[in-house]
Amino acid sequence: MSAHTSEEWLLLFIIALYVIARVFFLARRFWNQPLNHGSGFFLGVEVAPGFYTGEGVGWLKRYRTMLLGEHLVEALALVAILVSGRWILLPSWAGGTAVFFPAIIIGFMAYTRAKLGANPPVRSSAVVSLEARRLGDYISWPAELLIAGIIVLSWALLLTHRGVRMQWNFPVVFTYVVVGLLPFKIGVVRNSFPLPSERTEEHHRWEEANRRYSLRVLDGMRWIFIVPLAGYALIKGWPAANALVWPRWLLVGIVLAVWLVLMGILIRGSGGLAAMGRDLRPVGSWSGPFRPARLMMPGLLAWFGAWFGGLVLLLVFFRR
Amino acid sequence: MFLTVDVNDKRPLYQQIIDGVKALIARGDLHEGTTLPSVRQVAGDLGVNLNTIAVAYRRLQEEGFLTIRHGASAVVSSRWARAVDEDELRQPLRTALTQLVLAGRSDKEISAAVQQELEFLHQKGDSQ
Repeated sequence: MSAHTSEEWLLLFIIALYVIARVFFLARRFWNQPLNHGSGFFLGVEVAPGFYTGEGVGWLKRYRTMLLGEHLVEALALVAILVSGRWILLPSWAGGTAVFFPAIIIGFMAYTRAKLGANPPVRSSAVVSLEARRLGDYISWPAELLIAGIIVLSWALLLTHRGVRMQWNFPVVFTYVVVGLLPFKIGVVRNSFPLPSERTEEHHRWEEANRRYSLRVLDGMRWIFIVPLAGYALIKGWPAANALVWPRWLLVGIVLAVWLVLMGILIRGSGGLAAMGRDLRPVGSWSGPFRPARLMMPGLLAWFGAWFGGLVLLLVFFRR
Repeated sequence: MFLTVDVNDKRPLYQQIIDGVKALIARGDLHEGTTLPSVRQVAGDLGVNLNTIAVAYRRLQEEGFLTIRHGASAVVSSRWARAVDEDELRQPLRTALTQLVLAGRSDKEISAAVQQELEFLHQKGDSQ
């Protein structure tokens, strides 16, 4: 690692940005996440008064140990890649962290709900909003058409290329991720919960803000995959672009810009939502008269499981 | 606009929805032309069977409060119920008044209660 090429310097710069972002989220968002709704809740599960002076101390310790352990594993893997100079493993590392971290958090939340929230309070009444949620109010179909157009053009370029060595795992996996996240967006629009009868308007506003924030994050994630897909198709499918250096830099610049926008959305959005929902009853912390307490609709969860399983299968297939 | 349902309410769920929507229309919270959420959305939000909401919407359509186009959402069509016989219209009022009299309320108390309910009904509409 004594003499770095310009590409390696750029990668180091991106890694540095990523590490700063992760440290920020660890310290500002995740460290105290169990206490987001005050001392009456732990990770969205209602707890008895005095929980944090008794049993809660151990729970908080377990949560933070899990958090630090996960970050330590990621950091060690990154250091190993940097020291060995095997840059080729960086995309796998980035993809792995993007999957591993949410999986660990969701797993811990599920464990908490099973242990601490097994008997959530049951309300006899529930409120439902009479505002129609139309897909078109949340999903921009012209933008979806643009994405579809980019994917089709990219594949047309890739399938008609001549004499260039192609790695099909990139376009296949990237297309799978982008296309698969559209049904997830539809699921996010449809996913909802009955509202409590107290402070209904505020709970409704929070739910709406959360829905729009989730959709913006998903869109940001999709563009992070769309841009490299289009760039890869352009470089591989258009011999003139393959010979030039600047298209690669332009591509990296665009991906970086999208990533920075996504970070902005995550920082502002998650902070705003946490502040907005601080005094509200967390979603899924109570059972309605006709619906048990849960984090998301079973259909959405099942679809996410199937999509994620498909992604793992694809990655395993291409690793062979 | 929100609609509350309660499992302790003696009315069946579909009736609670019918009455809730009618009250919102009467108060002027739901205007003519307002699109209501789809049957699937309301059923999903509450966690109840699609048929329960479909029955409520169908009844409201039969009474002339909603227009439902196949494959589209329900739209509030009128603040006024389809023209019905005056006697038929007063029947629920008679039933309610009878119950109040049998409960031992005086005419004065009943008048005050009716007035109070009317004021509540018009509260929102008047403020707009």
